[in-house]
Amino acid sequence: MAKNSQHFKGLELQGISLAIGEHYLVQNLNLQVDCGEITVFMGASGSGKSSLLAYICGALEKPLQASGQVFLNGENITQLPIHMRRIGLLFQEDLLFPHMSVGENLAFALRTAKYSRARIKAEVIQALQQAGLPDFAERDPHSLSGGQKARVSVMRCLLAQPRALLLDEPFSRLDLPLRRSFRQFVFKKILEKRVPTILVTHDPADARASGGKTISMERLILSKFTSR
Amino acid sequence: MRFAPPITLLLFLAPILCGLCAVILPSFGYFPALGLRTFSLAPMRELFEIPFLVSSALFTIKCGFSATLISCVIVFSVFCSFAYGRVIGSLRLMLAPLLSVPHAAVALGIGFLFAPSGWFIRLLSPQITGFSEPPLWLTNPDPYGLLYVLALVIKEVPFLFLIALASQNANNSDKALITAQGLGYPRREAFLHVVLPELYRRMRLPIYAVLAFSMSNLEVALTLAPGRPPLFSRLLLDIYNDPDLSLQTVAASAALLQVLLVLLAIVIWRIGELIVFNLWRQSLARSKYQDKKILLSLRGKDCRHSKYSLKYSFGDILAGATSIGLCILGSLAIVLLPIWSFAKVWRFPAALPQKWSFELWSSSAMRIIEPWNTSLAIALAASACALMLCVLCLEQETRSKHRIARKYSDKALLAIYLPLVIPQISFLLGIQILLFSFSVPIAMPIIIWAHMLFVLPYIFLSLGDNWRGLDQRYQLTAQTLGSNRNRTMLLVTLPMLLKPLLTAFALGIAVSIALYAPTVLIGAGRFPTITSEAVALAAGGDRRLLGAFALLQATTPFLFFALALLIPRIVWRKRAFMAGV
Repeated sequence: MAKNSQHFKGLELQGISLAIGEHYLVQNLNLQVDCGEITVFMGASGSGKSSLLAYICGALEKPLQASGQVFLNGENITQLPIHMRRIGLLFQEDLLFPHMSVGENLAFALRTAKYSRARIKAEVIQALQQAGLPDFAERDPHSLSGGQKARVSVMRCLLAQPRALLLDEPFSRLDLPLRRSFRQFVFKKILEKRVPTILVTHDPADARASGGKTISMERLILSKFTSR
Repeated sequence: MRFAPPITLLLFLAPILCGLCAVILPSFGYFPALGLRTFSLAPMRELFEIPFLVSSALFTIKCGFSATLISCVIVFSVFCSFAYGRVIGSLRLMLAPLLSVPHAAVALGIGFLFAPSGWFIRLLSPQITGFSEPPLWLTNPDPYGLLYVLALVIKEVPFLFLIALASQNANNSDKALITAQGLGYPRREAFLHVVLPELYRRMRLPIYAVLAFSMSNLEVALTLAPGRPPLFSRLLLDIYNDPDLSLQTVAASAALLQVLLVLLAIVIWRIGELIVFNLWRQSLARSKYQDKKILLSLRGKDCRHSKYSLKYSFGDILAGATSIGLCILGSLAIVLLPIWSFAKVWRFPAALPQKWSFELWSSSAMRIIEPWNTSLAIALAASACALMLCVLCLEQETRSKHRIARKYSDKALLAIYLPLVIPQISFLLGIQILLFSFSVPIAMPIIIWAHMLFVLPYIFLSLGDNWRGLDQRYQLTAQTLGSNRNRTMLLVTLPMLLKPLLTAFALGIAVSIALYAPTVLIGAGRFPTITSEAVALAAGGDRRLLGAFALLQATTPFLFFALALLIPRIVWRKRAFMAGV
């Protein structure tokens, strides 16, 4: 049942519409994602999935237009700049900064928190151990395998202590066996950290594994879909 | 940051427009600084009384058109013959270094190659020609401006070639070409009808810039062009340098006429373009390849016919050979003149010095080092400022979510090409008149700023594509990790673009080192650079000293390009991906 947005812990979207000119991609979307819950959006390419994520994290580019409010743990973040929203974003590509070592990539997410050097170092080492990649701190990200890069990318995202996570088809680049284990790794982390998560995907297997509700993008235009 | 694009445009357009106004007013007799406060047509009348004026104007148009047309024909035939194959790649390796060599260095070198006492005659003497003394020919400068056109072609072919290569990559025209060939069009027809129109559209502004430069530059005109009739820019400089101050208004009207000449030439060129393209379109409509039956039969049989086979035709080989010949000529010009600075004895028919020494470099060290220092100081300062402005503009473009620059990209590009299309000599003269009128003391910062006007467009064009090509999700990811925009720019964008940034900087240095007109017109000879010194020595000065300046002119830009290649390799030696970027 819907809770009052002031007290709701998690990610809440209120009356979100997305349009290019006269053409609506999303109409009046209302949604609550609890902490540790994964909500899945499915739909064909061009259906506005990625644009929806861009709006939530504050990076929507024109000519797309959007309206509606985004709440995070009861706080209205609709007007905040990207770096102050603390919403983690993962893409299909790992997007590790190619000019930094693996350790530097991870430390990048910690530096804004004004930790001591020793603490940053300790957290980086701990994160690498959790990802099953001890002693990788000095490595060039380019020398890692696809699966290793993907795991570093997730750890980097989590080290910034995001209050919500947006996943834009993060598994579709990996081949099948790897995909399953990586998905388990990510979903376990999400439950552990209790982060509200939105996952955008093509793959019904992702949706089944998520254990959360699945929303079809096509239905967001005609019906007034609401989770309330 | 938000004001970076308008400030840049202001810094950029204001001086050009003010300069032009400052030329127009005096050319109608209004020059308050000289006490002339009434409008009259007297300066114009005086201008037209100058002997050779009309023949000089016609000669200028002729030379400008020849240089531009020849360069275009060579570049387009090379692309037509070898479109997107390996040959283009190797030609690129040969032509690209020539681009960084100043016009003046090439012109001086060509002058030495073809002079009566020059290297080609030396090579053939005394065995073939029988000369034991230099003949009394008038080859330098030759009365027809042939060497002038040759030197320009050597410099403009690499420029147009690299621009064509860049727009081809931006354009996916190789795919269009393959598709057209798959439909049965032979390679040449496919290139002419499918690729060339779009390629030409993208190259139009650079071609106009070449046309304007060919008609209005000073450095090549002063070294290689004949004195009677003189090229228009040379005539203008002579009037301007006249000690009689009352001739300043006449110089202004000459500068105005120079602008009109270039505009007229561009209009004529444009009309020519329209006519050629119309004929082209009609010939396509009449083309036998329009007939589907023939099209199909071509695939079966005629493709094996020699005309349509993959083998190169005579025309292809000619196009390739011409550009390779230009490369060789350019390289000889750059390499041979500097040998003079190491020659102790180099008498006439010898092809190489009889005795070598470093005497000149030690005895004239001060005379060489001082202009070199000035050149470097101006080049470094102008490039650094221009690079900073470009970075701010591009970052602002990235930040404003609806790409201002893309929306107005054509107009912005036009503004950027403005100082390249409007004759430099004209608006620089106007700026000089303004500085003189307001008694602004001539100081280094003003010269640096004048250089920046020409450096900035090249830096912007070179950096812009790379900047916009960077996957913006890197910046987005950094921001979602809590990094604000300034930190993201410093730690992500700029390091990832280290190589393009350094390359753009080196290009800026090369452009600034090569500039002649701003140094001479704005600096009024008070800040001699290696380029202005070299051009000053061209008219029969000390060939050894000339060789030394030519050497520095050619090598200094190379040095910076080498650093731009080397530094990223050292900084990113542990980062495999960055080495490839």
